[in-house]
Amino acid sequence: MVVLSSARKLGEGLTMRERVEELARQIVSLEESDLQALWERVEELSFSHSINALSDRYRKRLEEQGELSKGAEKILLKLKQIRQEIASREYPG
Amino acid sequence: MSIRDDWIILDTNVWIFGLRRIPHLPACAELLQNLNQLRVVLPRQILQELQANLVDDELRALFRLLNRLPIAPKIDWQKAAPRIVAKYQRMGCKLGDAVVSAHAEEVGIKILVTENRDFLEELTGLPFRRLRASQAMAELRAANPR
Repeated sequence: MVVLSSARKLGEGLTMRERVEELARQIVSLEESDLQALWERVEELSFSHSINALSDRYRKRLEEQGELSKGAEKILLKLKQIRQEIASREYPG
Repeated sequence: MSIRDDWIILDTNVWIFGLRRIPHLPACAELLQNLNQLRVVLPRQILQELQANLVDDELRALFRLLNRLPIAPKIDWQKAAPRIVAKYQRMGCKLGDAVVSAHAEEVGIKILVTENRDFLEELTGLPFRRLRASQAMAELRAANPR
């Protein structure tokens, strides 16, 4: 199945490998400033993807713990409580 | 100077609301999406609060993300000086908020982004601006008309 899917022809009749090769050729032919803009945009999208993935993981855990639907006010109260506990430990008296 | 030029602290509630994607505070998640445009400081108190809310794997993933930012965030594990904490308590801050304020003063922070009403509405005379996430996003958009 893996072999079949990797060899499957994509939109313009290219395999994935051919498509990557074509994209790479297009990218290296860009002007330096366009290339820079492209890398920045790729990094932005990649960062966005990663933070969404972290958020998804966090939300999944909260859902499993029955905590995801907690309202903002309750969350704020809990955060304030944690803040006070930590600060009281660090600055006793 | 714009919000992009100043070192800023995102309060724990902004991190947590953003990761939770709280529906009526979408700007928190938006800010996290735009961390690459910000100069972020994480002081000890907020680091410890994040530790209390996230499990190890989540915390590690967050730090891996922070390490990818074009401007490396300032991770500050130093305890704020007790005399500065006490000063903010005298100004009306609860102990925990006084610690965050003291960190901000010590690091020279000009902006705290928070959804904590004590910071936003109750306290006056603090030497840094307090912005809601939505206000911070508005400033960021204004500074970056793309």
